[in-house]
Amino acid sequence: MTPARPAPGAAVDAAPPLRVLGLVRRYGKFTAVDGLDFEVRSGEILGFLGPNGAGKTTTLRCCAGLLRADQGSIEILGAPLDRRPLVARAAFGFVPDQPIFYERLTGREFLQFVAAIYDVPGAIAEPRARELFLRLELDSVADDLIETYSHGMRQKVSVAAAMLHDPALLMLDEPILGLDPAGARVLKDLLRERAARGLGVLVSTHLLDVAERLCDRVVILDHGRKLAEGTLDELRGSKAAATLEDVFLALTRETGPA
Amino acid sequence: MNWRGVALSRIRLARHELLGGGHGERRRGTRARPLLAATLGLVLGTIVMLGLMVLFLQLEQDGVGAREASAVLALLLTATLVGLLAFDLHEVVSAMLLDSDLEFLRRAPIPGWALFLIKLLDALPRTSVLLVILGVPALIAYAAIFPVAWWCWLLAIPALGMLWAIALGLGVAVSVALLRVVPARTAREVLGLLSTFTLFALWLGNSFLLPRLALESGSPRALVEALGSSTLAMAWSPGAWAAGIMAAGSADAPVAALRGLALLAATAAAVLVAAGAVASRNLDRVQSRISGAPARSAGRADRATRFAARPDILDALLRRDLRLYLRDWTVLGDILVASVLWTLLPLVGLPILSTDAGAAPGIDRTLLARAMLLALTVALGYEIATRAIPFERGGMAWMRLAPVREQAWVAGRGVSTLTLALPIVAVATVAVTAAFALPLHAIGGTLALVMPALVTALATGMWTGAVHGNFAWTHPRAMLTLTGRAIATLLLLVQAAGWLVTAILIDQLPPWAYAVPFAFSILAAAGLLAATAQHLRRRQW
Repeated sequence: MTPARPAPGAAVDAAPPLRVLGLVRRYGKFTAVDGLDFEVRSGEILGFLGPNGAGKTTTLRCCAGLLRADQGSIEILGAPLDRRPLVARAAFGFVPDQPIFYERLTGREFLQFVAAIYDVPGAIAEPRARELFLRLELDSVADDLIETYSHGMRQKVSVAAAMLHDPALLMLDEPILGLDPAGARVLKDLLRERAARGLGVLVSTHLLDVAERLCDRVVILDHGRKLAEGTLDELRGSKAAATLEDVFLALTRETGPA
Repeated sequence: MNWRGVALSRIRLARHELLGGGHGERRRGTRARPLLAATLGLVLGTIVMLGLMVLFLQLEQDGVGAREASAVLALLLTATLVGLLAFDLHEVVSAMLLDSDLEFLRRAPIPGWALFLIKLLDALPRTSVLLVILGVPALIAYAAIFPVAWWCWLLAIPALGMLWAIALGLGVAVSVALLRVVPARTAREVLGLLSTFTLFALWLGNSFLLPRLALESGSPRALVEALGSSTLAMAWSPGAWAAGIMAAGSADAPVAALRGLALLAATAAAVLVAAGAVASRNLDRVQSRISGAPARSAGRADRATRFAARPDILDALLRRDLRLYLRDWTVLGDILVASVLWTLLPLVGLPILSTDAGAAPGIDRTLLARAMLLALTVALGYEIATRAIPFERGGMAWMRLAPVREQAWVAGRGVSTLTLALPIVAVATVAVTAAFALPLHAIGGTLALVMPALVTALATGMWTGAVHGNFAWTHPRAMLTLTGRAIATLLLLVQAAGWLVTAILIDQLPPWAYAVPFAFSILAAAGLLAATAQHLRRRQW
């Protein structure tokens, strides 16, 4: 038995790594995401910004298929997530805010499992895992059980697992939190390298300085709605001296509670 | 401390826990089913109550008085107390050491003993099931046959609460002391193992000892007399004090009842004070130890593992499960102990059947062997398959992230579950058929029933686990929600009854009839596994 894999050429090459149209997600009567449109283009790092409870995590979980969208469409490399889920899933990697593990596997065993379910042959997975472990400084603990890892180490293993099948789109939910400065630097380098190779990256964060230095474009979200989207220069508009923080605070205050 | 405010907030928390609420619950797709849980609790409680009423009625018809019969009630209440320790202590320990609000509470200006009391009360909704399905029905059944004065109920219900406090207060004190000196993971596993062995001891006592006492002598009175012979131990047990309140109620002797309640209250107070003292001294340190990462050297594993040259989802799932089961040895130990118990169950029933029938040798060896193996196979559906899905905890979310069909994942889980169950069935089959010296054709006929029963039971168990699994389990015997445990038990009873009837009838039918169970099991398993995959596809993480 082997996992279902997308047929070669199944994805539309011209399609962006991620396209979200009219996304709505409700929890009972509460609307967490309200008609959201955005896309991640090839070769860019898109920052997903917003205050607490803005709907960032819900949106990312919808895009990863962990939550169902109530309305709207999500396409990954042109493949609709709801109608062609296997093609779509093969094309993205996801780093959730709370890493998803089997605590009593070692880091290496966990990556072996992930390689198998993503159908990555050992000849490719083994050197890739070795390189990721080395760069993320996990090589010395790769054979320890995950339950013994610190929060930062878990975050790094989660990143390695999401990158192991070299997806066209990488989605990360608050990936910097819990990482030491060296780890954060390595992660940012890895993301930039992916973008330089023409792959898409979507990073959710509320660390504005990280977004400012890392992201090519940003989407600012509040109360489940998109407030603004564009490059930093576009968002600054006429106020060239404004920082992303200024822009962010100005936008979110306008829509915040009276 | 603002006790009123604290009490109100805890009541709100308990209400949310019982009735569900908040976005998080809906997001994770773990809707509370209060009505179903209440109905099942009521059904189980009623069944227990009716059974006990029959027992008390037999005692009464045998000339046993209310005072003497209270020894049986005392035994039942003591079983409730021991059951609380065996099955629910882990819930209190988890509430005390792992609940998400502990970080907050530890920083609040609350004394250690108050934190202990708050968390003990927090655990009440999660740990009151045995009181509902055994303690209260036992009191009602007793009172139905030996009527009690109205005031007795005013004392009996608080007495049950005190039994709860004694059992869990004592358990928490011992657990906290244990966790102070042994590593958290080891302590949890030791508690799990103790729970399994307590279950084993309770089961042996309940299944072998009591039926023989009560029935081999031909009179239920023998049970009362046997209990009366251990007067000292019984008289000084909290269960006996609580039962004494009911006996006093039956004799309209309020002073004696109050004396029993006073003894219970004093014991409960002493236990709570002792547990509060242990907690206030050690809880902070133990909580810190548990929230810290375990020692790194504890988990070093085999370095020789390699990436698969040609990945295969089935191979990956089997390898992963093998590693997880071997490393979670309390789960594996629990499955093995339970397998032995279930296999022996029909043998335990034998003296009862033979006494009723009046002739022990009348039992067909082949039928008994089949019953033993069918009991085991049906039970493996409960013991192994219901745990298969929740055993993965949040890791199940990988099924939604990876490009693998849900059906393939569930089929893989099914194969790994079968791989774990088959050796147990094989060993039991060899042991039972050898012990009963069954001829070859009888072994073949037995296997022709056992295999379809196994396939059906495993598929049923996987469906139950997927729908009613507790994905945040802390104890190997609690991988299902309360509702799930009740449903799984009912499904187990229905299957056991169905296969037993089939085993009795099938030899009277032509040989082709053996094909029917096979066909049924394949169809049932296919339907149930498809339903499992469908449920997991809809589940949100």
